[in-house]
Order: sequence, then C-alpha cells, then structure tokens
Amino acid sequence: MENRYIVDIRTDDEYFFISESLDRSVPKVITFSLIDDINEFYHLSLGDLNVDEKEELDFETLTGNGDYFKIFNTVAWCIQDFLEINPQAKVVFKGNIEKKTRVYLKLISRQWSAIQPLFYVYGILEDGQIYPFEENKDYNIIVVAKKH
Amino acid sequence: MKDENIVYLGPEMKGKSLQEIAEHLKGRELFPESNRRMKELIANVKWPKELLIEKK
Repeated sequence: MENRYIVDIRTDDEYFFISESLDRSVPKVITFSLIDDINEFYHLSLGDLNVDEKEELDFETLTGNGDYFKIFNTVAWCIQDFLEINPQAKVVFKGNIEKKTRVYLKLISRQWSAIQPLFYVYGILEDGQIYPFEENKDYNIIVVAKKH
Repeated sequence: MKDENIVYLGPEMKGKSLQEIAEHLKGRELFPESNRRMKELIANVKWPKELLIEKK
C-alpha cells in the first residue's frame, strides 16, 4: 500500500499508529468491533487518542496537515491485514461525517482494479438497500469481505 | 465540525508511549456509541449470500 503509516502496535482487534503533521504528532487507533457474531460483521472505527480532556480536536485541523490520504491508506492496509487474519470477517464502516465517507469511496474507486479480484465490496445506501460497489458512486456505508 | 471519535485518555497518560497507552486501553470498548449506531444502521439490511456464513 503506497504512502501509509506503519502500524506500531497491533492487538487482536486494534491497530495503533502515529499521524505526523508539521507541528504535532497525533496518536490514532483503528478498532474492529464485533457487532454481529453470527455472520462475523466487524465495525471499523478510526479515532484519535487525546491526553487532554479539555482539548477538542477539530476535523479540519486534523486533516489540514497533508496526511489525509496517508491516514486512509493506513486504514485500507489495516482492513487488508485484519481480513487476512480473520478471513470469515466482514468489515463495515462509514466516515463519522459524510466527507470522510467520500474519501473512503474515492480511495476504493482509485484502487478498484486491485481490490476487485480479492475482495467483495458492497455499498449501503441511506435507505438500507445494499448494492455491489460501483466506482464513483456515493454510499452511506461500505462493506468489505475477503473472496475465498 | 468536531470529530466524535476521540478517546480521552486523561492527563495521567501524558508522555506515555503508544505501547503503554495500548496497555492502558486493553479490554475497553473504545467507541461504544458509534458501534451501537452502526448496529442499528445495518439491522434491516438484506445481506447478499456471499456475506453470510452458511449455517450447518
């Protein structure tokens, strides 16, 4: 995966890395939480680790440091790694704001020719309808599973 | 726009290594609200068969 952060620590369902900007380092965590144990659906979340309770990190500040795609490439790498280790798992995710979901979609579209042979990718719309992923279309939720 | 996915570690974790932070967070559900919401969002999705595990 091009231009990504190296994951410093990996547990069964969490990946820790540090996002480096020009003026600060932000520790981040990616989690895979089991939300349907019958069909092994895992919810992916990306978050910041903040030591100062009073400080509220602003999304625009965080993404204005030039590492926007690097972070999302890191997320993509983690999904790939998680599905290698848990081949039955399905990963569901969305950005916590629309803009982030669009970045995920853009990233998948950009690398679609490499992703398609290896993974099932579906998109879920606002109304809960699910469709096979199509490049450059908008979805509310993305689902990724490994092809066997 | 504020980012809701923030884990507040508290000032006692200031200066700690990522390894120590990971240890500190071990066993804790970090994003319970976002997990709950996703569960709700996908509750009524009619999954294609390749995403379901065949019951034996």
